[in-house]
Amino acid sequence: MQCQYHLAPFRFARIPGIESKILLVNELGEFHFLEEATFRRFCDLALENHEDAFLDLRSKHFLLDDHAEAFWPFAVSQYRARKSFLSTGPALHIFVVTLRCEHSCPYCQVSRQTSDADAFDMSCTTARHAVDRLFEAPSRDLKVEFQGGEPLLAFDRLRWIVELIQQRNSTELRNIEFVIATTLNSITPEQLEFCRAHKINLSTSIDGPRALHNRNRPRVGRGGYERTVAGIEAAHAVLGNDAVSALTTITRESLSYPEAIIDTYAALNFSSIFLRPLSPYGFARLTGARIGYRVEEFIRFYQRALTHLIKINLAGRYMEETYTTILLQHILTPFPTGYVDLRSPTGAVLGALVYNYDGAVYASDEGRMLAEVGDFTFRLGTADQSYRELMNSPAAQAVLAAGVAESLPGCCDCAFLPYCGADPVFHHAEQGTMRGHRPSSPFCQKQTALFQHLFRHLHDENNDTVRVLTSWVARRSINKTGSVSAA
Amino acid sequence: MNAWDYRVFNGPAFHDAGPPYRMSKPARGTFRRSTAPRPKAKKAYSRIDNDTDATSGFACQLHKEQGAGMPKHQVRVDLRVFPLVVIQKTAAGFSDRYTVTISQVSGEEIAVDFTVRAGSAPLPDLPIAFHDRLLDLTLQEQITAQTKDIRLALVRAALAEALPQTK
Repeated sequence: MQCQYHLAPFRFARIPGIESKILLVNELGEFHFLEEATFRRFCDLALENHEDAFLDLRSKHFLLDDHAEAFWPFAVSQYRARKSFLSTGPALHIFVVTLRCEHSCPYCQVSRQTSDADAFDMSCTTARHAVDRLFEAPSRDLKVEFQGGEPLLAFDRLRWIVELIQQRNSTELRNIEFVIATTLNSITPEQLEFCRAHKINLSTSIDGPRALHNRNRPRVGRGGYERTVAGIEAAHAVLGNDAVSALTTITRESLSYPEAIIDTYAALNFSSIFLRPLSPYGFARLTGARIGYRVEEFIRFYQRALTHLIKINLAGRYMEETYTTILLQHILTPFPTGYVDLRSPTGAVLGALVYNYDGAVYASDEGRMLAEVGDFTFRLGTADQSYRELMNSPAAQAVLAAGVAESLPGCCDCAFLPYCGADPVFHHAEQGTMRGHRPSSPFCQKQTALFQHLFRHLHDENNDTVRVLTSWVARRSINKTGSVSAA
Repeated sequence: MNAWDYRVFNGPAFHDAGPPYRMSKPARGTFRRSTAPRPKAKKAYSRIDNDTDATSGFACQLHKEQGAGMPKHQVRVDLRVFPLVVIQKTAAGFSDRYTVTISQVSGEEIAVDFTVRAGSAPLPDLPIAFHDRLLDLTLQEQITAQTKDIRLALVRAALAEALPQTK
């Protein structure tokens, strides 16, 4: 029997490769595939209440019928959960303790300074101010990330900051997580012991097999790969495997070796890999023509890499691609991730603050990278200003005005909007406008291609690939018999 | 206007000169509950696509000009059928490959001119792609308008207490 119902807000898309069906995504991030004819009848309010499509769409909050009272509490709660990062303010606080580094990577986004350039270390005064700002932020859960350069070259300052934060937190009682982004080239047993004692995680970079890594990441004195691997093994031994993560930056040369890159990570006992494309920030922009590539080339690389990873997982070993897991969490759960680039409103300012070695405060890590080549658009102020002043600065207001994807041309009608972000910093760097021009945006092209690829898999709910992908969201491995176990 | 020219429906003329244009799939995204006035289709329409819903109202005309420089395409859209904002959104979606110019031909007709950008590959099926996207965005616009109150109520209820509290 045909019944009365109203449509709930949703957007739709046609996924290349799934010609017969249309993907519907509602405001809450729930999705459903419909045949074209059924989709037409749904939009024409002509579905009958005993049809499977009607029942599915009602259970996924694509329509309101006589039982609308059941719609609202769930929908409000789910939308609230999806946007819950708004209620906490910036949770990621990046301390750039030094710009010093022994590497001279061609795609590095920041200035490279020699190891003895103390002028590029964060002063105690700046660090103290930054810690004040950290505790002015309202979030109960804080993540403090030490960046560089190579932060371990300024280990004394880093240690001083960690101890200061922990001292302050004895009364603040926040949940604070520490991460050091490091090449691990010069990590010492003393430093590892400090990390263990203070539960500090390490994030490092391996670009693939030895030859590729050393070409991508040339180092004064050479041997970058060997030193990083030695550092990873030492860190695994002291901190455990879960305390060390790694990402790989994909250069033009990397595109030919997705399987070899992943196998290198597997050999080093990593259970995750982050396949990060080149960024158009800072000095990386200057080398982009030499080591860069088109979005389609990256997508082909990504698809090959994902296929290889799925094979590894189906063979019984848990290993995830971190960015894919983030996208899947956005698609399959209502909970936001800590990934600030994929937020709307934007994660710059609202999700992260960066305290630079020189006392400047930026809206995001990419914002300070732009500053290294003279673009201070994302400089909110200085660390001695209050949190309120920084958040109300003209730079912050400009970022926020351009950072709501729901209001951006091209994004507002996009079915992937609930899973994606505005990323005004990227678009400013790439296109010279924070709002961006979506049809020609590499960010948009990449995101669209990745979402389409994932939805082509998710369309068939019962295949092995979907079992692997969902296991990444649950962080559970699947074994050869198909059952799941803790990763 | 040379080379080839067609009018899908309701047009004053239908020229067979040049390669035939045939819809590869039925016009999609018809939203019958639209309040927009829909002109009735004439026989020329069914010649293009026998399966197409006669009320879908695709009023598009395309000219392909062969001359010096980059090839140019023109699509004409009937404002009685498609809202201007949807025509603009659709045209904007092609602005990565084409320089797009929108102009008013008459009170009821909008011309969208496409010139391939230097270094960009033209779409082999621009009229089909434009037509499909136009219909989809028209439908999306109608869904968005129809569900606007629910969306606003949802956002208002969900975020009413979500403002950060600073110390």
